[in-house]
Amino acid sequence: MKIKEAIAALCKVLVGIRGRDGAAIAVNISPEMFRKAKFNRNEVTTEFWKLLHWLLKLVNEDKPSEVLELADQIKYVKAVVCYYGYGFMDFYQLPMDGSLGSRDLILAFSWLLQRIHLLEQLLNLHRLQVEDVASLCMCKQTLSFRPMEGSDLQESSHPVEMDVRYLQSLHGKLRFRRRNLYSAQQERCSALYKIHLYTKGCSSSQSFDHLSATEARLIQDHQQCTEFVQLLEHENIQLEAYLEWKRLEPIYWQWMESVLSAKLQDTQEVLNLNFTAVTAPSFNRRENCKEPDAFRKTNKLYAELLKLQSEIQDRRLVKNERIKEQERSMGDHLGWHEAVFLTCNLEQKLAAVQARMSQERRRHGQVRLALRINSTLTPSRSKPPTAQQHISSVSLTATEMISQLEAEAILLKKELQELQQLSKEALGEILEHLDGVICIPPTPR
Amino acid sequence: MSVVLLQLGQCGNQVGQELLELVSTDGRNDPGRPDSYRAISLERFFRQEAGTDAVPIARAVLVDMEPKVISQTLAKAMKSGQWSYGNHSYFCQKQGSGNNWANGFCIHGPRHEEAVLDLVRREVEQCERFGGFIAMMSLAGGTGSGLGTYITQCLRDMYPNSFILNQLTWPYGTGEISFTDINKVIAHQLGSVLQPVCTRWSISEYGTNPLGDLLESLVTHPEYKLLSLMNIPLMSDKSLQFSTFTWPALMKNLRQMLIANAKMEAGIDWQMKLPPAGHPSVSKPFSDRKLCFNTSLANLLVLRGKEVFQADTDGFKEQALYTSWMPADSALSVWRTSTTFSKYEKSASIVSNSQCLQKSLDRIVTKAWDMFASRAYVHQYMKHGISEEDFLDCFTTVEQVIASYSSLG
Repeated sequence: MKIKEAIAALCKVLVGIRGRDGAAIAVNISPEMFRKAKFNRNEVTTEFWKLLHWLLKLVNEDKPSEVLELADQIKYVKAVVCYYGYGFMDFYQLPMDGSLGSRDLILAFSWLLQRIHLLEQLLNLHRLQVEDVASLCMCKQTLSFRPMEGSDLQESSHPVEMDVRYLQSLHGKLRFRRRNLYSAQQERCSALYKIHLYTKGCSSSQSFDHLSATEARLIQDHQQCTEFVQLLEHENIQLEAYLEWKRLEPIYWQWMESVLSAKLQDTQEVLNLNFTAVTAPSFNRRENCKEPDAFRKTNKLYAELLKLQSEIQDRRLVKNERIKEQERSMGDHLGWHEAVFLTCNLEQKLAAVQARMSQERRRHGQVRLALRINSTLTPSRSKPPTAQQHISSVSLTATEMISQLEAEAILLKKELQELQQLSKEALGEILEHLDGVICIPPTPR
Repeated sequence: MSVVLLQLGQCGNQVGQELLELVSTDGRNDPGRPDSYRAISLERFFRQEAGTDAVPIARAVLVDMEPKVISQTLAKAMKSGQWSYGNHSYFCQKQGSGNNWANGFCIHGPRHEEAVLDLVRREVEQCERFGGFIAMMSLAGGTGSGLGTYITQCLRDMYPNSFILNQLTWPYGTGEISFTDINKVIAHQLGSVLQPVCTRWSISEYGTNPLGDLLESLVTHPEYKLLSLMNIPLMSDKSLQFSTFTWPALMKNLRQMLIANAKMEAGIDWQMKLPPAGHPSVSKPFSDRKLCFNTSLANLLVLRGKEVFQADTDGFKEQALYTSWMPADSALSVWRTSTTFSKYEKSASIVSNSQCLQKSLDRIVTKAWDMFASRAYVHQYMKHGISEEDFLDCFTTVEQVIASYSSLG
């Protein structure tokens, strides 16, 4: 029975996964567990809940998980699985004491495995890195701000009444801490530059000819080096287990099909008992369960999106027709030179739009820092730590980034000035209604 | 992190030299000192030149309009043999500022701006980790105060993200004093705060950002930027060998010094008390002296010496000490280290953002206003470019500061 091997490989991968504090999975997983779940045995249900909770907690938060009650764990798992879009209603109706439903759990687990590339995400979690990374974020969106409601203020156990001057002092504290951070960053930058400069020609890698800070440290400190090698070996073992799993994966999915058909069979039997109607029941349309609002809305939005898409296509066709007509009519009157001029103009405009587009592309993520031969610091994209295999081989120079960021800063400053002007005008309007009030501007910083 | 000292004017130069002397000695003193303390202290104030025989060079820029004080300062440093100033780290002219702020600010400032800032820039570039400026000056005189103000403004423009701490020496009221002794005391007080100490971010490692941490704990509100410094115990070497100190006594005295706004340990007004807890804070009537205590916005305690972790600082955590809108938890910061400081087995300092200076400021402004109203000496300032408008602006600003501080409690 090859399926046992396949499940054993999967278990081996899962067992090797460690959390940030080095904690391994606390559940005893084995192929036996999976087999029992196929037959909907109840003794393995709690194990499965705990497994799902641990895995999802790792993927989402990567915090050392506090020990929770089973009911809380079940609630958490249901919430996260709903967030990912699992639509099988039976899962959400499982009891909160973890007594029933191991087959639904295994179905959900396999769905997650495929849908969010669960294993790949888990393996990616604590990958060892030696490169020097910097994080880059050009996102325009700021954190959403929810104005405090009155009840919040009363419930907060603050020793003194909230005063605007306290807020001002908190704001001042933030400013100082930001300055501290800035100077620490500058220091890091100059240290990295020195390391890169001094270790030129040391590395054997093709694309980078210097060592990173971590690499330099490992060379100096023998103890750390041996520890690092041990960690690498452990990661190697994990990856080998993963490869083994990948080899046997198709068998697992075939087996999952059998689980699914077993489930469908049971459901049909249940329905046959309940309803005497002749119409073929589908288990997505049960009358005693309500579809959560989220799904209904998503369906509606999806339909609207399809409609918009077809509309756009229609319009595009019409426009193409019109352009063709114009071209034909133009070809009679104008000469060839004009046509060329128009195309050139169009190309320029397209180039300008493309340039703006590439600027507008909001960068976000980690970049690797490397020093190039013409002695400018060159950040280049490393594989982004997601489960998708998009490898963006865009490498940018620091000067490009700096000019982009400076342009961005100018825009933001302008926006700030406009907003300040608006609030000044608003304040002016308010002041007009107040008599006998003299405004003294705050002391300049 | 390294700090760059700017010694401006006669007082600034003398105090700066005493500070560096103290720091250098303290860093080397007793072989029982942890190496990290010495290394951090050295890195903070000095830089090492290449060459095994070279003494550490101070990260300082000396500025004065007269050559006398600077040459004295340089000579004194050289004499110690333990450290020295940089060969080109000073700037001086032949003629002084004549005790005229306007002369320093309007004439000497713009004229010598480039030269001075060039020196500063060179000093900053030598810092691997730059942690801010300490500009030392006196409030009287022309160079220190006038040129110092101008240079501080330029520094802020040149380094918008840096920390700037201005150390101001208040002019004495009346009588004769010995400058050297006072300078040593001031340097001692400053050193007790600036030497390596474990800030609240870590209890076992020394903090690396003295100015940043100091300012972040104390000067968070833009209207309240005046800090005062008190340090105990302060006694002569002879008495030191016969005295013992306990933390409870030190804490009690320091607390009363803070409440009663006493500058020295001797002559503390023990009658001054806080309102008992639970009573609503009343606005202080002038008649009842018992309630005119010194309200604080924020306090920083720096404790050094043996058994420092047993020192009980709860006396400083009472909400009544602080203004009504600042919770005591965020107002008080405590830094400790078990490394002793400069011959004192236990030493406690408090840097306080409170009403300490309010009365003195008030007094000075009243006097100044009287003089301005009768146009005394005004032409001396106006001939260098200060207009009456500028005077009025300054009065407004200072009155605002006084008003802000008096509204604290």
